[in-house]
Amino acid sequence: MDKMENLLQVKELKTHFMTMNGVVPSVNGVTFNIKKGEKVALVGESGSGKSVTSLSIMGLIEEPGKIVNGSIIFDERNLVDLREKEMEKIRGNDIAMIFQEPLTSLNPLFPVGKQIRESLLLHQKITRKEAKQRAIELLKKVGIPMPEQVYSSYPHSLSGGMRQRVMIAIALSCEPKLIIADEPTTALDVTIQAQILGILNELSELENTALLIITHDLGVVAEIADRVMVMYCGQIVEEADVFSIFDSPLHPYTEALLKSTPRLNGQEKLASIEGRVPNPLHMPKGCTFHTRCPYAIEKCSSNVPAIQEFRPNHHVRCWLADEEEGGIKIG
Amino acid sequence: MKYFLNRTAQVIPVLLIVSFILFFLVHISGDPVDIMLSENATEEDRETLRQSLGLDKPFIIQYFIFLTNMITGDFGKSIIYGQAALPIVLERIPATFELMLASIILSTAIAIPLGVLSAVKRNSPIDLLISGISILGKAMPNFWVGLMLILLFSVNLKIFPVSGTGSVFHLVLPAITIGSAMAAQMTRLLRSNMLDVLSQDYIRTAKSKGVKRLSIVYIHALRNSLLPVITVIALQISTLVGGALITETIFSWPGLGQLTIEAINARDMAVVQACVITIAVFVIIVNLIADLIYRFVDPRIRY
Amino acid sequence: MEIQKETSTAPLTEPSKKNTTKYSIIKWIIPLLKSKTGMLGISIVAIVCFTAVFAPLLAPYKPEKVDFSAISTPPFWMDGGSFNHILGTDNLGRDLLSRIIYGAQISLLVGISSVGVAGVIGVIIGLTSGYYGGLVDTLLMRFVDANIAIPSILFALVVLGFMSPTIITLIIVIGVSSWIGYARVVRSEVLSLKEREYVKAAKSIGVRNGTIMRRHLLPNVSSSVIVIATTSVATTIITEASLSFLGLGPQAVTWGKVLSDGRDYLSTSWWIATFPGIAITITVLGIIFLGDYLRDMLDPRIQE
Ligand SMILES: Nc1ncnc2c1ncn2[C@@H]1O[C@H](COP(=O)(O)OP(=O)(O)OP(=O)(O)O)[C@@H](O)[C@H]1O
Ligand SMILES: [Mg+2]
Repeated sequence: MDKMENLLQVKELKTHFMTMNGVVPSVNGVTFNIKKGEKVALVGESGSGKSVTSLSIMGLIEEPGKIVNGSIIFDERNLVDLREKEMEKIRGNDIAMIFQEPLTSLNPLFPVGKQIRESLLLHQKITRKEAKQRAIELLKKVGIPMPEQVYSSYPHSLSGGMRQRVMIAIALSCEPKLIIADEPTTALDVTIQAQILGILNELSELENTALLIITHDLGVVAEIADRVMVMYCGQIVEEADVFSIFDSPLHPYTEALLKSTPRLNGQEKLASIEGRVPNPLHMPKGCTFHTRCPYAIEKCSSNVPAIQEFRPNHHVRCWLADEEEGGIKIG
Repeated sequence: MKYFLNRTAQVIPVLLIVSFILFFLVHISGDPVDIMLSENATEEDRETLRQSLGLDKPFIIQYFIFLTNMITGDFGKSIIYGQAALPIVLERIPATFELMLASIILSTAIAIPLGVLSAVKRNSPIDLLISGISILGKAMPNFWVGLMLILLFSVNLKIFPVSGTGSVFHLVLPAITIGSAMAAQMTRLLRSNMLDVLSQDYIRTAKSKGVKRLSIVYIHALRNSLLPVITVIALQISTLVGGALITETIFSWPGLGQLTIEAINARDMAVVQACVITIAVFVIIVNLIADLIYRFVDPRIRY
Repeated sequence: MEIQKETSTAPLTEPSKKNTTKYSIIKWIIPLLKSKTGMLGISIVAIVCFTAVFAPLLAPYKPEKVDFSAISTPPFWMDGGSFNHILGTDNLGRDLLSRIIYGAQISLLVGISSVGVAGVIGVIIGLTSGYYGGLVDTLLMRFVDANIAIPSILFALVVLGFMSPTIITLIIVIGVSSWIGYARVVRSEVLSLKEREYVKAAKSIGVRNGTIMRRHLLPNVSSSVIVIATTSVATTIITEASLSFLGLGPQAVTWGKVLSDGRDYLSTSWWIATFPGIAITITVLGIIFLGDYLRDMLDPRIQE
């Protein structure tokens, strides 16, 4: 894995929203890499900045948001510096995105076929007829029965799962190098979730497409990801391969996340994490998690821990993981 | 088609109510005999006339007679013109239709670019300017705008004729008068719809596909934003026709509106009644058409 | 399977109406000072009201005072104009400024009173039809359809054409021709309100229907009604002016009347028709701004 070349390198990314009430540091110094064909999960509670991170990569941050710091190197180009025209050529072509809400993510007034065809026509030199042919193939690929018929039907006549398949077809259409899927299954019911994840997994493997899958569902993570990044309050607090995260989490937040997720697909009651996500306008001093951390020590409330490689390829941002402190055992 | 028939059937109770209100108004507005006969007519003359008009019968019966006459297109004789009222009224429709059409085309041509521009450049000086102008357009009384246009373009600049018909030039000022109010309304509406649509998820999807900004606005967002505009304009059509009443009078435009006002001033009941019913039917038809367009454009409510 | 998201359950209790005294005054004034258009709107409306109330003190002449020595005097900045008649005079030498100042009286009186008439009718019908449903409701909806078919100005014209237009008839006619808007909004709000827990609870413990409507429904629709009423004043002022313009207004000095006096003198005395129109426009603009501000404050849901 190590020898594979990096497809995406995000460095010290800071995306802030200048709201009327003050600056919201939604993404506050995020660094990570994604290699070609790698499947990475980004997990964290609601509001931790996952979507903002992905929209920053896509260059889709809108007023009052702004990338205030950092770089996003994709294919040796820094996306932060690219002009809109050049970004348009990358979007949908090199990096594609799938969103959470299949119900509202398709334009209700256009047939789905037209919406798939659109990105083909934009990025590839093909005729309309060929584009239609391709679109129907794509629909078949994502497991839609009767693709010719679905091609000319409108989104409202399709189920949520079907619509998400269409979204995947759109994302796959130009054979992108990276697909960002922002909670692709949250809005769907459990059986459909599994199907969609299966398709996403299979097709990205088939095409050797890298996948950044954003979720707050650790079940999804276990099913799909090679590597996991845990995000809290705009920062990555832990990063490791999927087995290490599940077997020996280092950060108290990761531990809490795991505890709040039932291991089996049973219907056990969810344990939620104690306390509340801090108000983004008034982030706590020191480690952002110390207000909710059961292991917090004095240092946590005053000094910000840096991210460090605690074990090979296992990074964590926590004072307790510090070797000088004796590497307190967690989890 | 079934829907269409259904929708058409709904028109009937509306027309019944309109006709009833109209009849009621005429009924309470005074004795028509007073208007039809001179002051020094004898009581006997009055009574015979009253009987021949059916005015001695009970209210409901009178309404029923009125209704049957109306359905057969018989509104009575016009006092001014001395002939059947309905043909006189129908004759005026093309002129009004021409004026409305010109106003709608004009206002759409103004409102779409302005509304889009002000939504896309939200809170910029351009947006403020456009919003300011459209609020002003809403605040200015229609008839005053008409007079000011005459003052500017006919009296001072002598570009367009003051009134009448005959050429495209005659159409310009009245069309601007009606169209400006409509454009103001449409611009405001389009702006707010556009802002709403631009924040929708499917617009984000389009962006993530790499669709260019301009295509996003004009292909993906405009159609969705125009849909509610169609409905509101259709609902506003009666206000518009109301504006046309006065505008036609100001510009001596020989349409329905001018005739209505003329008939009201002359207390020409037959013509007034025919005008009101015709206008109501006109408005209902426009609403029906708007409804069909809506259904045609929005696949979600196609049956 | 997922970390629980925050879910807020809707409170079952009635939204509090109690603490609307001391604090809310501050809560109202600060945004008002911040909102430029709100301030502008309120100032314009205040000035117009002041003018109307104190017209006899403010106007330099009696509005009907004919002066044949000063026929069609232009406004003061033009050749032949003077400060005796700041905005000039009309074809009978009547002072235009005084006529516009007095005109504000009728415009506001008719505008506000007819909105009152329409509001009372509309709210009562909307409440009953929303609360009871049934025949009243069906009938109301048919009336709404019919109302869409007849322009309200046409309705007013037809009625006034057959009656002698006095200020009272004008108010009633404009009021009667414009109640439907209130009825529609109140009805739809009541339809959703009556499904709320506290209304159901009140019903189940046997509170009388009339009391429920007065105590629970009316206060909750009041903000929408206020917003509609404010913007309607603008419409009724224009309607009144239109009717006066067409010669169907009351026998009094109104903006529409003054304006129509000027219509025949456009080519010689442009000011007669111009200034009353400006007065109407500014007033309506002020009301629109005030209405928009109130809508933002009271009820962001109502669209125009
Ligand atoms: N347009 C915006 N204006 C102001 N703040 C914003 C905006 N968009 C996002 N934020 C803030 O950024 C923070 C992170 O939001 P983000 O949508 O990335 O969270 P998330 O991790 O994707 O959560 P979820 O699981 O709910 O999708 C939130 O605190 C949010 O308030
Ligand atoms: Mg998100």
